[in-house]
Amino acid sequence: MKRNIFKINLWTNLSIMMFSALIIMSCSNLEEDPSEVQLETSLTTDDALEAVLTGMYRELMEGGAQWAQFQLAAFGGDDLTTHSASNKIGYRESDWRRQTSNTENIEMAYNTCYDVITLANIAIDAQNSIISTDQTTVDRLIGEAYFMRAFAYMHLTKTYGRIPIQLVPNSNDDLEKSSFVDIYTQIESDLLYAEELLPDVYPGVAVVGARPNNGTAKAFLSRLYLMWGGYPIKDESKYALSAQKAKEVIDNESVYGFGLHTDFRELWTEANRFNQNESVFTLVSCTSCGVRNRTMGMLGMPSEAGGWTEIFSEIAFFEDMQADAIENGTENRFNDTYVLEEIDRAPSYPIGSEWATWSDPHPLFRKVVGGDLSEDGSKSTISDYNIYFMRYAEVLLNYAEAIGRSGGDDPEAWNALNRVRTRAGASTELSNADGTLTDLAFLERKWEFAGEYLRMFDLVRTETLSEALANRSEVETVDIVNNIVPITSGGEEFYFSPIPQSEIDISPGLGD
Amino acid sequence: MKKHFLKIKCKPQKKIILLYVFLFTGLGAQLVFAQTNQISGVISDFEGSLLPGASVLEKGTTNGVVTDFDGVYNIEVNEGATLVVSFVGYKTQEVKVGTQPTINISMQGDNTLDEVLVVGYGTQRKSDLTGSISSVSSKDFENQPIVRAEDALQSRSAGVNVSKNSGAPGGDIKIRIRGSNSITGNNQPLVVIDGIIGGDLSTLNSSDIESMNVLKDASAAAIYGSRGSNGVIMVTTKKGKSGEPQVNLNYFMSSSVVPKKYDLLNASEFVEFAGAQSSIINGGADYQDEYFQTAMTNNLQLTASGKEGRLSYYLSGNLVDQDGIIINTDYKRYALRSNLTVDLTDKFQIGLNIYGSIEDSHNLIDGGSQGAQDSRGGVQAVLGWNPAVNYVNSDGTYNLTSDYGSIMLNPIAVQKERDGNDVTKSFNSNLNLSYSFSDNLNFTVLAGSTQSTLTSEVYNGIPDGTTILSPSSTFGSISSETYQLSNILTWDKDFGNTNLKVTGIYELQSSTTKSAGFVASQYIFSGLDDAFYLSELAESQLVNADYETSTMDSYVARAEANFSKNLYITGTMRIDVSSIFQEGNRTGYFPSISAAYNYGDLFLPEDSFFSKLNLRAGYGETGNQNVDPYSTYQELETGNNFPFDGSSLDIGLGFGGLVDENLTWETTKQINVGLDFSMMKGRLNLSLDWFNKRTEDLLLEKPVLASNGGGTILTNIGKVKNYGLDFTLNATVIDNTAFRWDSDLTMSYIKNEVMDLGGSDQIVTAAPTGVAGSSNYFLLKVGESIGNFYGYEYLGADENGTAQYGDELGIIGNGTPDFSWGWNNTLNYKNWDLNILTRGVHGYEILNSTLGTIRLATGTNTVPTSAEVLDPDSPTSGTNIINSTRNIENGSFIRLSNLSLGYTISDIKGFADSVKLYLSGQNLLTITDYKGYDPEVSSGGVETSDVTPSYDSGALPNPRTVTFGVNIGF
Repeated sequence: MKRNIFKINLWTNLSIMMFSALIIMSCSNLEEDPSEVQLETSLTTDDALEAVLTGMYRELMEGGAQWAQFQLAAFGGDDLTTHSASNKIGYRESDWRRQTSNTENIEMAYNTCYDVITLANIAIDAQNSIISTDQTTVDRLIGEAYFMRAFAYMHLTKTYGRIPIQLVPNSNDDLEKSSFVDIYTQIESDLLYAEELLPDVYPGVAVVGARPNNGTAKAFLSRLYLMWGGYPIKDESKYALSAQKAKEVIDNESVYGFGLHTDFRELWTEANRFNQNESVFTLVSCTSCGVRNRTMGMLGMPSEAGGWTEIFSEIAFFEDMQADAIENGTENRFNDTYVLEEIDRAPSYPIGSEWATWSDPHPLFRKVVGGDLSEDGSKSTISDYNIYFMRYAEVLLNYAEAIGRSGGDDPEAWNALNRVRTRAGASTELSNADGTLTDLAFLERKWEFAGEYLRMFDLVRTETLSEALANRSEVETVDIVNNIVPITSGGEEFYFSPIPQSEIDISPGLGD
Repeated sequence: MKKHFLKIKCKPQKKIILLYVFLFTGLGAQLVFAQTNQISGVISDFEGSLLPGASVLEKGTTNGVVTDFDGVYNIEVNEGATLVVSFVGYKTQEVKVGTQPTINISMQGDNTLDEVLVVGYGTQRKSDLTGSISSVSSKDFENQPIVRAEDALQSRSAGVNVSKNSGAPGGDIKIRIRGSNSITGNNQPLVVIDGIIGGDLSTLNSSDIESMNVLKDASAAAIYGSRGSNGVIMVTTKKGKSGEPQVNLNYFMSSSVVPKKYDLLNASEFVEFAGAQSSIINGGADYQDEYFQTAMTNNLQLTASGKEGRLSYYLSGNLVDQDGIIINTDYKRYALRSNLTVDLTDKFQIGLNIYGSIEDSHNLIDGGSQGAQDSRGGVQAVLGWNPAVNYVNSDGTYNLTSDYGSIMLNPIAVQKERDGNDVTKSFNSNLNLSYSFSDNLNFTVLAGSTQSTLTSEVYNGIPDGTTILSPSSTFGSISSETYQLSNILTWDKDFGNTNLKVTGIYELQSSTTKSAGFVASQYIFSGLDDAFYLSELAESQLVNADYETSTMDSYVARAEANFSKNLYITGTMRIDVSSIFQEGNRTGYFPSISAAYNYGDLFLPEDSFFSKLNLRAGYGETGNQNVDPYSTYQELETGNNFPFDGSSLDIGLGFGGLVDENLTWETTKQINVGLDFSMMKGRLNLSLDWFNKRTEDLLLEKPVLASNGGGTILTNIGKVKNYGLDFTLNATVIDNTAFRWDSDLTMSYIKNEVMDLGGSDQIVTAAPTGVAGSSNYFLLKVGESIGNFYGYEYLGADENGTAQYGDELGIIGNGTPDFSWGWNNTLNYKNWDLNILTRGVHGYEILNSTLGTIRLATGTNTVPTSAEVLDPDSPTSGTNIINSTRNIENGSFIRLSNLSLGYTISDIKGFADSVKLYLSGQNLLTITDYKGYDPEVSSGGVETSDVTPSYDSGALPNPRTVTFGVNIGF
């Protein structure tokens, strides 16, 4: 009897069980809802747009600009060099113009710039779908996105020459390298949008130039046109445009908040990083936030001062600058550019001017080791120094040079040149009696921006790289042991870095 | 709206599992118990020798016992029951129980190996197998002191390659069943513990394992469908057996040391080599001696098992306390298990298995896969550090940097000042309800859950790297839970000589992982000793949180037919519907068919040389869906913050990488043909399997051009082929009353070939760890095996001592082994037993980046430290290209994996039934040309390192271990 009850109950229960199984069968939710945990790439709010813009700076800093290798190509110039052995092979190959697609860190600038471009493409693509009551903010951010894209393409083309242009997000197209004209036209177009959309003063920044304003866009246009007039395109009609854009900045320097900082040396101190108005475009750091400048301080110190021996001045450049400074009375700037005093660092407490006696004999750039050697950043490989991409002095000298190259001899152009010279300590002003505006402005750039990763590109656009590299000091270390000597002439491969092997591996056509 | 509705409906899934429990316990209260008999007896062989460990089962139930040391059994059976008596090497016998209380049975020595194996969702007799399944039982590894379940599998199963990638305790272990199918997907096999899918062998107490069956071919693994393509390891834990309650205490103690040392420059040699400026500070140091230590392990295990009436129980507790061979590292595991089975009626059985464990690892980075957080640190920095500078000054302060040698911060100081604690707590429970409606029809519900929480608390007093940074703390918590509900209906019927068994399964699974953590740095005070719990004082505080969930519904059917015990046919079909893929790509079909033909009874005469001859063949399709949830949705990443004001971060976003919305399963199709011979009355058994696998629609991380956002895109392209042979030989070489010698040999040969990469001819892949982005050391190339090294030919040093290389990049070696073997010998003489396990892995190269980095100046080592530099042929200048033939070495090795000698004293009056003492050694001897610490280790992860195998970049060696142990049975 009991058994029967059990059986009946069993069947009832089993039926319930089967039924509940059926319920579950109809119920499993197989549709994913990623919105809980991740953000879509299509932006609809100005806050999201702002965050994407912020992300571009992090990409720029984290992936590249915090390291000196971001400026690897600039070591090809006659101002910068590195340790003659040790682990500085990547720099050395650039210095000696012997880069290959496998050169150490050759991909750093490439990947970083495209990371910025990828985010810029997302932002620019979203400009019509952003719903905001604050159109001023949206315009500013979209303008900034155009500027960042232009900045990244400019760094790419001056480093690698011809590169592919990608303007849309979420594409996996196998793009070919574009022509120089297409690349320059694209950068111009982006900068013109930026110029149109960016405000005169960027709100809420720690220092002028920490984010681009209208003047920054114009200043980069002036740089672009100056490059456009020279190698590789050599469209000399662009010099006038360069002068025009520079002039627009100079005429409105107080509107944009730009000026020359009196104490040159202070520009490379942590104390005065926000106490200056010379940065047209700069990356600010925050070591305590984990966003750091790793291009300065101990990186430039010799092993006698416990440093990384990574970034030095070339000897001939040092000697020439010293001679020029004495002749022109710009010793202030010379002393602010090089460390000549005793360095209070173990193990050997070396004296800067006695660099010739060091195990790796090279002069030290103060712009690398720090304007004030007692600051924390100078004693470390991580620091809070600004990373300058353009100083106002360049706008002044762009103007002078562009006027000169477009055949002008404007007093305002001479004035722009003399402003830079005067700050450097010169007591007399230059005029056309001293030489041509073009030559003098170009020479001034050499000293003013020594060690600032600009010289190489000036030498490229003027096709004077061979000449400059031929002027190598006899005591400059050369790897005679390995029978490897610097290359001092060549074609496109001499002027530009090869596309990284990692890209060629994916798209072999990029290697052509 | 619709989504919301669905969500609410789905929440109660866990509750429904509980509902089952209540339903069945409700049933249990009304049960009527049947009449039972107590039977006892002695089992002996045909020569009269007593057989301890023979299995006595009540037919048609899981009620069973094992004979004790004297061959005695005691079992309670139902009236009219039939006893099934089996013992390996003897013919299984069935005896009908009458009225007599004692049944003595003499076993016949003609072995047909009628073991019962656990296959997916059921069992099969070994003789009925149609697929390729290897079995390892507790008996096979009881003579080897092991902490990890994976150790038991190593070299005992043909086609199963177990490599310990790291010598750290608790470290991840790489298992490959018949090679690597997937290029970027996970290649670790699926682990199923007591029917619950997705188990973790590392948390398991190896002593709890009754058997491990490896489903190797697709016809066996297809029952697990979309997760079966890497093979399946079925783990069955122990259950209580009838008879006297058994209490066992096992204890062993081991001492481990690093197996060898690199020959490095000493302090004065280094000073001389580096140049005059370097001087000896505080006597210098031998960094290998400072970094490595003799590591002690204590392992204590207590089990109690038995069967009382209708309740059988197996209870165990385990404590492992293991030091790492690196200073300031250790690993502890505490585990408890309770396996209970209740026969409520003769038809209705409930089983509840509960296993809880706590793993506490100290300073083991990334599961022990590397010695340091910075891949250039750890072992690599130890070998490259300036030996002239002691890590510590006489005043106790550290020397953190040196201009010569490794540019990393001093690895000894970094290691000593780290306090990293990863605690994993896991709790697994599974409820098994089985009801037999009749002799033919059974319904089983398996409801299981796994809960696990990992809490990681790390304080780095000296954060690893090249620059002195202030201390930092990181915290991470990952909690995951998985649920599984399997409804299994089995119908099994004999039609005369023919037997048909049909199984239908409906299964639901869900898993959810939640994580959160913080990184704190820039403490406002300096000089804090260990400030993890003062993280609030850090000026920089970053937080993160994440969540992911996935579900899968599956429908499975299997039919097994057996015609006249000669022809066996099995067909299965599994349909998986996974939430990970989008509508339209979500449902996968995984069929299989296999057959076996047994010539044994049909053609072979009684006195034939062959006592069994079996031919098996099968085909099946399996899948790999190892893809993270939400992988088909484009996203923006967080954490890309930037400090525009120079003092605090603004929130920023980054690009999450390109995705393929049409992503779907990777499918592996496999053919298997096998032969089983049994010779000399079952004393010699041989199995040979040939297989050919093709994996299509590979889940491939295809590199994306930097100009398109960079990184990789996970997509379905390409084909890979694996084919090879598995060979297993079991022999009872000598078997008489005093002396027995069993010898098992397994061999596997495997060949791998990339057939298609979705258009491109080759994909160059970066080394897994610690190398700059353009350093592509590996090459996938159509027509070649995966795991090719890509680099330059080394031409030697020129007269100036400059390293010279060829101009062309090309394939310089391959890191995937193609032949491996294991030879296990167990010898018993009276009370003595001896186990010798030897194994070998052949046919592969290793890229020895560890040595490469210290034999010539590189980015991370300004001056080399290897004593090789004193060799006049060794280069002293020039570029140090790591991926050159100079650093490619033959990895083949033969290793004495285990050597154990034991002595058993039985029946110590008033104390214990038996006491076994043993002494054992692991990795005592390795024969290899490899110059590094250990040819077995590799710096890649265990799951997806198949494209970048055998890359030694500061990998931690497996130690040489000596163990003393005692097992006491009460």
